[in-house]
Amino acid sequence: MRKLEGRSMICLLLILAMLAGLLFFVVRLEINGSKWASFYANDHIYSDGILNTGEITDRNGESLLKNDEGGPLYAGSEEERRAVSTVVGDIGSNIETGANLVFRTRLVKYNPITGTEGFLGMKGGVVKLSIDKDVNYAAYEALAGRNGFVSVYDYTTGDIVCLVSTPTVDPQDPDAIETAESGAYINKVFSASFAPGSTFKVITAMAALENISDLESRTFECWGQTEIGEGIVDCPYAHGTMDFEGALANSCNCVFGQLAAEMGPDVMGVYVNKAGLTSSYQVNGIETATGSFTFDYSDLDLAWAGIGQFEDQVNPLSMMVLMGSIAGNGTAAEPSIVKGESEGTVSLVDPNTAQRLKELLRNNVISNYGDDNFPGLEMGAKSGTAETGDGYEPNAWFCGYSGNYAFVVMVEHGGGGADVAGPVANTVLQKLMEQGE
Amino acid sequence: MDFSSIFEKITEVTQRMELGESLSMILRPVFVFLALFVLIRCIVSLVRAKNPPEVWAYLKVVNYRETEGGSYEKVSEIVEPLTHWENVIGRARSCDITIKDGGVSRNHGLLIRDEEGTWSFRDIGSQNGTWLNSSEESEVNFREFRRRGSSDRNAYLDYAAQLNGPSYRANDFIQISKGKGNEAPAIELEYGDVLRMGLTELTLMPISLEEKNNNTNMRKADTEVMSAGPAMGALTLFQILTFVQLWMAKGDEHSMALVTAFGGLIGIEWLYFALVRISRRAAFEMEIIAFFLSTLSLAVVASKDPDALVKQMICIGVGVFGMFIMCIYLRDLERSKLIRIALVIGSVGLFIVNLLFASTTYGAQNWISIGGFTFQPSELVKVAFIWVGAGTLDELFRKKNLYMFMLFSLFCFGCLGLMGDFGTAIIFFVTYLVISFLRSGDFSMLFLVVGAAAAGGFIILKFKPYIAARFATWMHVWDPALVNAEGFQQSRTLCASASGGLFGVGAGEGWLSGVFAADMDLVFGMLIEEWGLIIACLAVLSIVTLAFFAIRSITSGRSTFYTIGACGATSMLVFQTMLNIFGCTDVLPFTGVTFPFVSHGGTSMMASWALLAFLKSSDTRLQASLAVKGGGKK
Repeated sequence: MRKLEGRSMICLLLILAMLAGLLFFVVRLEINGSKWASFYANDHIYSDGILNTGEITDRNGESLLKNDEGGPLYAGSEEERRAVSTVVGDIGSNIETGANLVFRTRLVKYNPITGTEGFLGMKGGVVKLSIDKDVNYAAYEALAGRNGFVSVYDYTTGDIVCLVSTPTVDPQDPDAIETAESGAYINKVFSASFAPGSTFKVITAMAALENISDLESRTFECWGQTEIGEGIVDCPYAHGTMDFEGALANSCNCVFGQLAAEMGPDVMGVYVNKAGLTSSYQVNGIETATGSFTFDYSDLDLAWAGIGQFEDQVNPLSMMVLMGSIAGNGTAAEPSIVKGESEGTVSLVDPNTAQRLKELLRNNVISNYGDDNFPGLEMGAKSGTAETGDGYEPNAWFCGYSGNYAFVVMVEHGGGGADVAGPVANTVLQKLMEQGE
Repeated sequence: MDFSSIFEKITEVTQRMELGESLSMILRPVFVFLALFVLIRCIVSLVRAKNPPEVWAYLKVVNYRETEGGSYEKVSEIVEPLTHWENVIGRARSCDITIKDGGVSRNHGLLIRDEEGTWSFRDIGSQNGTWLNSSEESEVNFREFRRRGSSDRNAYLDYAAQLNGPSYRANDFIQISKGKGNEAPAIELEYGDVLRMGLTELTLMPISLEEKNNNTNMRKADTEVMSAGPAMGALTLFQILTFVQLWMAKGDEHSMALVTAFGGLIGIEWLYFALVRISRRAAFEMEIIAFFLSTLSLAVVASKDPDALVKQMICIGVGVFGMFIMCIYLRDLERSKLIRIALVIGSVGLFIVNLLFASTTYGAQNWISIGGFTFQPSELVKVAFIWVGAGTLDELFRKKNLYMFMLFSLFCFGCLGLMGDFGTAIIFFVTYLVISFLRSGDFSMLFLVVGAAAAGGFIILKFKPYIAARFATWMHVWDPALVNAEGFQQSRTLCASASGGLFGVGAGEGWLSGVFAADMDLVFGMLIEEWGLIIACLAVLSIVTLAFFAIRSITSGRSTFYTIGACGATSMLVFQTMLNIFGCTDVLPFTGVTFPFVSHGGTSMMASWALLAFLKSSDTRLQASLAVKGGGKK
């Protein structure tokens, strides 16, 4: 019999294996419980695959979306709902970066003790977004049915206070994906990239300031066009003689094309990386799109790339953070779509360069776009008019800073940058001032 | 959150909730409390149980040494109690009676007591042989040998004459085995007989009445049996509240089935309790654990398939009755050994009938339907498998017995393979490994068999793509391509499990029950969702406790037949539970086997209860187990 005592260890091993496995499962359950419980098959919190718990509000706690047994309820009129649809997400969760999809686990508010039931029957969690409902609506109105986007964020806190991407769907009653307008289910600020046009000259300027020692003492002449490599780069008209500051204010293609060609593809490559345009940001877990550039094809193409054409593609959010970094003397908070949940800061520009760029952008407004167009604001900005190559009007860009805010605006096929996108930026920033912040 | 808003919230919550919801919310922690109360009592009692050893006789061990003058002098003399019916004598430390004597083989011989209290000795192939000196004076040249299990006296006399030669004198030691590794037949002993091996003499001594009484008193003091009343009461309350909860969840539609099923279960439970008390036995821990698990079984069936409730309850009843009969049958070792041949023949027949007539259900061809009643032969064969695998110590040292078990096992694996029931085949295989290791203690053999099985497994994977797919799905159930395909059941199980939290959403309120086989293969997920993680883990711990008790019982086991049976049965229960709970939760590849006592399924339920009888037969606490004779007759 005693022989069996030793041999019975094999049974003990089985028991130990079972206990170890059970422990492993319980640990996995504690770690992944929130994710598992949020799965759309969970009938405790989904009705027919649609989440029935949790609430999304704007930064002031005003409800944007409330899920309950009766189905999701989006607040406000259809236009108000459309103004926030790309941020909040539609009823069918087709917008990949929509808060109702991305923050699902927070809406479910799983806890390991009561599962998805919540304590005392209080189910669901509240996600307080950083956007302001009214500012978003003002931005949506300002776009006035045109396609494009508006985004404003506080570069000191990281809060994105305004984010509109058009076209939109009514999130409560969205068009089918097949019939919806192209781009209605995409948050362009997070998930798309566009040719930046002349706004890209800010990056070329940043590189030139740090790589061409006599830059600020040079004088430039523009005859309306200049030969670079095997072709020409042209301006709408001859800008005449100007210094570097004037060249940026005039957005002179000849000057910036030459500067890019002079610095060469390697330097340009370094600076798009440094400016954060080629990497993506994590906005509360949402991975943004990255830009892409080709500098080493030919001198002529390099020159065009240096003024934001050729194959340049820029993600709007990365442009906005760059503006924030310039305004913040080199450093900006990482953007956040949930109020007060910025995950850190980024330093994209050397402090001295940032200082100078800030002055240059301010000068753009004073000497070119007109301070009177932005009453009460102390704005620095750069406009852009990006050719789309499809025969339509070019895309109108306008990005910059004012106070603690950095912004980026684009009106697709809008025409001239500052004239079209500038007023949109002004309307939104004025609304923000009005809100008391 | 300030006070007024908390107050507002509470008002809002109370207004929103209906009476039923509030009651269910109160009930859930009560269930956890009751389950903890019942199970912790049983677990503590089983873990603390000392299984005090029984003393069946004494053995005086006297060592001699050869002096220079050629005579022998006594070196030591000790008296060892024989605490089992089956004892190995030899030089090895693992022997029950260890003798420090170079002339004794590592495993020299077996000292075995039978049902009637008769002792016998069998040399199992020692190097130097064994001699016997009868205490009885004898006029004839050869004392009367009686060969166990045979009345052929002459044959034995011939054998002894060959060994000892014709010049044998009375009162001398006679050689009863010739050594050199040759096995010898068993010889019946009487008290006072002296065995000599090497330079050691062993004298078998009876246990006096006084000692016997002392021993009984000691065992009485050591025997701790849980008083069944409070646990039975708490369990009954648990069942009544489960019924209330299910009534609220399922409504009046199934009220009749619910009343019948739960009323029936409580009836079965108390009837069994009464029967055991009438048999003057005291131990109930294992049965209460099994009844607790069976209650969960009724609850998941009520949630998934209320129409099957009454049938499930009847199967619990049949299972309990079967266990009762088996316990009584197992009391007698001889008849328990004899029935094995019948079990082998029956099992072979069942499997053949299965292969010829079974209907294929969801991949595996393992169901037989007779007149509307369907059952799974493989579940019944599980019980026979343990029974056939168990053997007395004497049998463990006989190759023939081992070969028979191996052949039977191979036949079972083969049939299950042909049926496509690979989950059950793995359970049989692991149980085979455990039993054969318990029997032989041979590690190299173990590796060899596992290696061969691994090779076989690869072949199966190659020819059965749906099994390979399960391995491919393993740990990838959330992949978008799999989550609604091969990973469907597992991902739903995990999702539902996470929803339950520690206390569950309430019996009958879950949605996992809507998924295919939720009350069978995914039952662990249903338990977590509806009953909460605590009760689900307690269900697993219940099985662990049973297994732990079986292992502990070895120290005081009477015959290896019972301890191998108990360890084999628990290993089967434990491994099957592992496959069930880890398969559906993606810790292991999904196999689709049942959770013993809990899963929906009549044959599975009955087999689980039958396996419990093996555990009962290893419980040697005084007057405790239904399956163990009181003190042993003389």
